[in-house]
Amino acid sequence: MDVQEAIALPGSLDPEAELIERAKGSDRAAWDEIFDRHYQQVYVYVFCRIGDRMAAEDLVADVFVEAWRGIRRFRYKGVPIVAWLYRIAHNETADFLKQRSKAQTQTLNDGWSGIPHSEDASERVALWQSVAQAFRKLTTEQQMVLVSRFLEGLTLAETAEVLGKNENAVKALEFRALRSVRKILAGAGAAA
Amino acid sequence: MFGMGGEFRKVLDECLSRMAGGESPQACLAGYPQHASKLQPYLETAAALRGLSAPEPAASARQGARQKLLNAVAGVEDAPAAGASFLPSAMLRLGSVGAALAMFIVAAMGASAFLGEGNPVGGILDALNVPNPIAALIGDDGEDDGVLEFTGEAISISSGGVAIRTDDDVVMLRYTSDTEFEWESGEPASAGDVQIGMSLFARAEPVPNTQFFDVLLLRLLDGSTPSPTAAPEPTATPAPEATATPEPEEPTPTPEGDHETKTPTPEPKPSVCTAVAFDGKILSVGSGTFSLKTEGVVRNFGVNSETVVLGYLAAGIPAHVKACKFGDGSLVATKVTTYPQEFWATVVSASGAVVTVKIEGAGSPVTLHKTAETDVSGPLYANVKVTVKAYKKSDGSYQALSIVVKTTEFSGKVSAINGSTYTVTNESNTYSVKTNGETDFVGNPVIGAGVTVKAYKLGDGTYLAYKIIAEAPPVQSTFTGTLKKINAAGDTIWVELESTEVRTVCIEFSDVVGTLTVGVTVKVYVDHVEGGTYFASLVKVIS
Repeated sequence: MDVQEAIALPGSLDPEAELIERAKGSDRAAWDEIFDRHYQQVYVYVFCRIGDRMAAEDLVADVFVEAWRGIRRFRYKGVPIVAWLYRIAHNETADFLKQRSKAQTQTLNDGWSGIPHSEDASERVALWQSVAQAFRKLTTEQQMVLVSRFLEGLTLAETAEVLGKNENAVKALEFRALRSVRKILAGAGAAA
Repeated sequence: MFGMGGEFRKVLDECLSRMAGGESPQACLAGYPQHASKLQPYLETAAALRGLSAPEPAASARQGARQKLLNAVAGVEDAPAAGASFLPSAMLRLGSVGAALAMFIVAAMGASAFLGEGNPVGGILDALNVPNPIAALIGDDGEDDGVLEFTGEAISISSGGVAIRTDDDVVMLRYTSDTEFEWESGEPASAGDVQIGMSLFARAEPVPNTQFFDVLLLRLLDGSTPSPTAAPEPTATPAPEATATPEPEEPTPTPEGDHETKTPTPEPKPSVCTAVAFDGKILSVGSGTFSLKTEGVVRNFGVNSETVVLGYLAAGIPAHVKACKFGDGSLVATKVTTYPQEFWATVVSASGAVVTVKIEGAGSPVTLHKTAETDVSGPLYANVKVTVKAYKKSDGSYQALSIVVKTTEFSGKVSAINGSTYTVTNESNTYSVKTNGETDFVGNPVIGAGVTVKAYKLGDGTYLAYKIIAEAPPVQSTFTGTLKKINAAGDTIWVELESTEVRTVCIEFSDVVGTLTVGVTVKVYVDHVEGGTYFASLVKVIS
């Protein structure tokens, strides 16, 4: 909230803070709003990490339920709740990947719902698997930046707001993430 | 040389912005030939990422996720996965008073069914000003079309819908103009044919943000439906035959004061039976009989070889009883549905199929019997708290349907470590957290570290952690030191602090104020730390 807004609306809460307070009070409408605002972002983030559409759908449902369970511990410090949802998503996908590696199963062929053009679906699935593997080697913040900037198409300013960082920090994360992804994919290509 | 990092970053940022606007990487590379070789990999990677688009989630998955969340908010959750944080079912969440209230509501629904008033469930709950704690989203037809299937017994009806009791919950179904009614035989039926106590199958869609389901198809499973109000036609019964009274025999001497004459007269057996149903609590169980208290009235029921019992007949448990009421007022149970009890307990011991637990608030330990079907979630260590769902048996033991180890999660700082026990403190509490060989440690929870603990609650008030996640230590936002070394590429420096610690600082994407030469004092503004390297957003030469 900038100075002009603070003067114009004395005593009014930051809308995000107000939403979070309502959510802590088990307000269904607040949770509905949180879900509508952030479901797609969280889904894309989870999908990018695991490359499996159906598993991503299930995990995203768990993310929001975990958010409900933990909302009373959440302290709003000006960073939008979506950043917290990303962190929950990160933990949920980490657990999922751990269990999946223990079960030694792969879902290489199940990550795509079908694209209405002539592109080879199996190549697309393989690409997403590579991307997901590369993704998982990045730090949480780098992943969030890549999802926000390149898959969600947010601007630098919007990404900074989502992550609660300044634009320079986002740029630094972006550059580092791009270089890392490039190296990982190039290494994977050489190995293949 | 040391300004190149900043310049390159500006160029890269500009190119990425132009690509976001639709420009190709090649156009930007053509504009900055001096940076092209370094720029190209970044732009190609960015283009590749932009070209990807994640597959859209299925609409039904989105709807299902929303419903799962809203159910959790409403206090009705699916059974937790093993090891996950456990939240009690709706009845337990309300606490013991709330559980009693919920039982009253169930009984009230049954009472209204018995009285034939057909009061909508919602009407009862509205009158009590209580949110419905037991409506839940259950059932799945296995198809990804958002339509769900339910099978249960009608417990309350109104002109607009019906509430049915399934195995675990009560589901509220709403009729719409598209609702189709049919008998099990396939013949068309109508809403007016639905009777309390009738078995129903429904295919329905959830109504968003409500606890109702709009019925697409309602199939009445009972083959015939005696009208609840019409008295059954009396059937002709043969008049009881007179029994010949035996001729009095010559009196034989009998002991003084002891004389008995038997004149057997067979009672006419009533053959007309009215179907009735009751909800209540079983008071006592005898041989071939049991008594049920419902609405303050105690009723006795006979049990014969045709009586179907779901669960066990045992004193003190709630039950739904369908019975035949004969003309003489006697009741013979045709079907008794007992409800499993849910309670918190502490594990005393677990061995094979037998678990001994001490029920909270009760006296001596009791025995739980497990079968292959018993859902056991979490390890049954001694002293661990569990939530049990089980049928009570007449011998006082329980047949367990599920035993869920109670888990909890909390955050705080490690204030002490004593062997394998951690003391974790936060604003509101101090926790004693035990660990064992199964505890999963993420990071290093040293004294002073912030941690998130996922644990089993023990009966003595302490916790046994199955996972401890240590937060990364906070990163200083700035530090000052002497520049000791600069690499040939000019993108990394080494800074020695007063403590003689030397830190590696990446300045590839940093702004630099002043001229970096070995020996100067610099102030480093830290963006983030990764793998021991500090990534600076700004490096300022102080002296």
